[in-house]
Amino acid sequence: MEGQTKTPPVTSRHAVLLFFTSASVLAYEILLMRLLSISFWTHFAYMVISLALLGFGTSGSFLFLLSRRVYGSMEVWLLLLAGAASLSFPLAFSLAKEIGLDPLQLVWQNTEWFKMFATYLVMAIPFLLSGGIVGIILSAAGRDVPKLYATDLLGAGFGCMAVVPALYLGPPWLLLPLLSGAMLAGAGWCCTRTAWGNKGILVLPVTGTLILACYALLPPVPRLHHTKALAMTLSFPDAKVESERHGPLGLIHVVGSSLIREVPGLSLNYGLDGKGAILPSQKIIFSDGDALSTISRFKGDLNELEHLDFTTMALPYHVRPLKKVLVVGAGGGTDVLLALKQKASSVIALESNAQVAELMTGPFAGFSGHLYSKPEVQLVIREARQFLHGTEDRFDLIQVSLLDSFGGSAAGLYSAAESYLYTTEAFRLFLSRLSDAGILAVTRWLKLPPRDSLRVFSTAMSALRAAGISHRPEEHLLLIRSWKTSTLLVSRAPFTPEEIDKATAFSDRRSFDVDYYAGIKEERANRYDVQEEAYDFNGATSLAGPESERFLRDYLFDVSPMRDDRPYFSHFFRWDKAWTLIRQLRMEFLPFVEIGYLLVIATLVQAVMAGGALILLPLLGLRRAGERAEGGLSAREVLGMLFYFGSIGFAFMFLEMALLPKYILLLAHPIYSTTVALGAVLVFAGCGSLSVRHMAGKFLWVAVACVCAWVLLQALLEERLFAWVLGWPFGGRLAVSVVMVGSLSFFLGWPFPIGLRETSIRFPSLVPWAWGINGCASVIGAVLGKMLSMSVGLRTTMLVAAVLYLFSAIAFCFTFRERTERKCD
Amino acid sequence: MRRRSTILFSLLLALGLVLDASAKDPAETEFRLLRERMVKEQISDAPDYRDSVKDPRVLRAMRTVPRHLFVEKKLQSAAYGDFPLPIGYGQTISQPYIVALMTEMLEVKPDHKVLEVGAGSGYQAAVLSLLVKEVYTIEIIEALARQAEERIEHLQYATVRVRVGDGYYGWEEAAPFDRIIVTCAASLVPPPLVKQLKPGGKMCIPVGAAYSVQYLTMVEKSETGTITMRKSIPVRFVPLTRSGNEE
Repeated sequence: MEGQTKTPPVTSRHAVLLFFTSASVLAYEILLMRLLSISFWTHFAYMVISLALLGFGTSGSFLFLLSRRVYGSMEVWLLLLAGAASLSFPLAFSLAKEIGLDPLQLVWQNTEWFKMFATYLVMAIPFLLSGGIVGIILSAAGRDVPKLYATDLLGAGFGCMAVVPALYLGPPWLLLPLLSGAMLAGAGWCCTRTAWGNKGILVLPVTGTLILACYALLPPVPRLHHTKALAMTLSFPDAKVESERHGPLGLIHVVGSSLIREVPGLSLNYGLDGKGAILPSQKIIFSDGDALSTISRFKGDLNELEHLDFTTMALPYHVRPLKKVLVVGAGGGTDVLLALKQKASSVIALESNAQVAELMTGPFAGFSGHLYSKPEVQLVIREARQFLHGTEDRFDLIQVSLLDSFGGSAAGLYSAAESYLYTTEAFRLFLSRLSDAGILAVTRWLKLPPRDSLRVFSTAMSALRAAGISHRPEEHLLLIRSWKTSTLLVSRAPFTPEEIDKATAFSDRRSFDVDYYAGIKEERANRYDVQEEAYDFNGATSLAGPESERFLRDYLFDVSPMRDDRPYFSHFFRWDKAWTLIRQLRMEFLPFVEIGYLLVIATLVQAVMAGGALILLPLLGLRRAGERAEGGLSAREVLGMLFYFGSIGFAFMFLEMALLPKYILLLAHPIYSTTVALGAVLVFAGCGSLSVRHMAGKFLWVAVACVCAWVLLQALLEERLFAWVLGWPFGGRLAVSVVMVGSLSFFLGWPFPIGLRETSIRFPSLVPWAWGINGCASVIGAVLGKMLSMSVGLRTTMLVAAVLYLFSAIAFCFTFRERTERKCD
Repeated sequence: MRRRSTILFSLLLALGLVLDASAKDPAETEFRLLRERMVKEQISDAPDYRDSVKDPRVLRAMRTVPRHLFVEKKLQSAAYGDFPLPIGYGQTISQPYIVALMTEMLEVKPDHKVLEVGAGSGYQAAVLSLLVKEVYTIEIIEALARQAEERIEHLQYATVRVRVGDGYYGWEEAAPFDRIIVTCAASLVPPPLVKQLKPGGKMCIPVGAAYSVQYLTMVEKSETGTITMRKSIPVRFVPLTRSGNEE
């Protein structure tokens, strides 16, 4: 046909290049998430996924523009793209770094928006180049699309899973050359002998030399954002990095300085009694530049720990005798020291990060007084919910204290981060593992107007009711605050008047405010750290009273109870109140909403703009050229293709964005969840693509039906399944995760290759357009899926995806009706 | 006659020099106008979500101190904007309104001695120096301290003393202080600072993430030594539980 370019045959050599390219680019995605997490914060991960898809989608546009030239010398193009992509892995990040984006200034300085967009585009380059390789091979594949698409996905899955253990070998920026090498190896196998005669081999050493030059002149070492706690601590005159560990869970630093004094919310009364204010010397453990935990020097003398008794975390010990204690997120051991100070006879210190545990039992054991080797203390390297599911022990106290850094929490940087420790289901589990007089103590950083403290309160109320304590659950709660922290006690047994007296006496002596106990009068609250309005008192009493629903509806922030289905504890943003805030406060609204969520919104805006400009616009014009070449397309076919490839793009990403956080619960950490959810999705989707090679289009309905059934079953059975599996060892949980995700992904791998194959047979000129639509939808869908998850929950996001798949199947029938009419009947 | 001519000539010469001087400094004029506008629009006639700062002494100090000289050259054009600015090492120069608000909340008097922990750019210390007898300011980051010191010396704020050091221990030799302001982020209020606060004294601690103040904690020590604290938010929210349709 006029305008149609004849494509050279695709061989197994091309499949090898495709495999290596996909593996490298997926591994690059994970490494880029790590690099951005170190430079900035973890929720840039969604930006990275969006970037990857943007690059891939844009490559489709360019491919169509240059199709004649490309297919005329396909081997040369593949070789050059592979060389450029392998160079771009380190170079793109180095260049992006030089742009000097400061995300915290996005709201204050308009220029930062341009920098963010520029950063976004520069970091998309490796994906654009790699996407070109994938696009060329897939576009030339013809009827072999399913086989090669499977190779693409299998390679990506391999890359995703290989990179995690590799992160133990060294920091992410030193792993980039391995990816470059893999890409060049694939290119070498594929094309060096057929591009430019034998001269193609020269591309390899030239590229290698350029990569070395990049490392020498512009090394892709991440630059810590200047407000990160590590950067600020290192500016102390005697600060010294005493230890460094790298791994998939984070880049860990331990810094010592005589100027480190971390005692969160220490009472101002401490040291006023004339005995002097003694604080032990300390070191801080950082993870990706954020303060994680503090290690205090301990020489065995409990008298040196007096200061810990002047924090709100000490409250539970003054209310009841507590001997058996579970410390969640033990880290550097502050809460463990507190427990020992308070004469606990058994302390289980839970720490989910094995590297932190290794530091505390290794190089810093002596400094910390061999804390985790003491006979009363048992260190367990496990995530809290998994541990509690696997034990029948009962504890007098479960202590959950300040698991976020203050700076990050105050800025709202954790709003897009999942946490399964502060949900109704988690609190209910904690309550079930308490002794009859046991207490759950949850401490958070104070904010004004209050958010964290009220959400903990509402979640605790919800958990008490779920645990069957529906008669006056408010009698099981006690809330106090210092000038910087708030601590909520949740008890299985109601607090007695004597215990309340002890709590108030403890608080009065330290000038802490008691904000809630059952029956508290207003004059009792807000005495020492006087708020203009008794915000915490008012909020807590409202939540405990009959007007709680009204309070939750009307409060400026979302402080409703958290559930596992929407585990975004630090997400307090309400769209219905946001405009009020912005209209009232203009730029002053910034401290009161979360930068984390604003960054997700900013990424969505960029994704829409970039996707529209780089993918859709060029292809709109090209679509007309393709239509002329195809002898005209009907509106039905055009809309049908748009809807089909668009909806499967959105639906796939919605499912992926819901799966990633969901499996954090089973696998304990986002990096494992990302690797498994992403890797298993890719590998099994690849297998699914392979299986449809010889299937007619009508089998699309089978895939859609299976996806919908999976989503419905997950919605109905997930809670019970997760509860059953949570106590299993990591290997078992991993296997279950792979089976669950894999069984869905197998069928997710059908719609795209089926659609692309039908398009390549019926409308071959429009293959890049279809590829581009899908890419654009995926780019936007990645970020939109994240926002949906945060707003309406993971289950609803997955249901929306299932509905989109249903619509896509209908669109498929209408679009490819002539060919498939017989088959859809 | 000759004497009259000489006097007239001298006057004309002096006038010419003055005109010439101001003609050479249009940038300074512009910054002064920006400063005036900053005080009027952001501080004294503040938007309705803020409590305007009314203390005439504070307003005069804010009009006088050349804020643009406390930031990097490339940020000078933004110095009078209604936002904080970075000064390096993770520190910021606070939003002008916040500086004025904290200064007003401290209720400083001309005979006061003030300690600032966290000199940063030196701007807050410069503002205070126009209102009190002495200002002592400590900064742990030497580069920042030196910069602040140079600026303060250059601008001849002679009542400000700058020290490089650990603010945790305050400034014992100069203690006690009538007022203390703690601008560096800390997880605790150093007990030595509480001790160095005079009975009847006040301490102000802004709390929040970089680039944004979320609330202000005021610590007051009564004449008998009792400590009380007050918290305030620098903006006025609509009632926190007003329904969305009650606008």
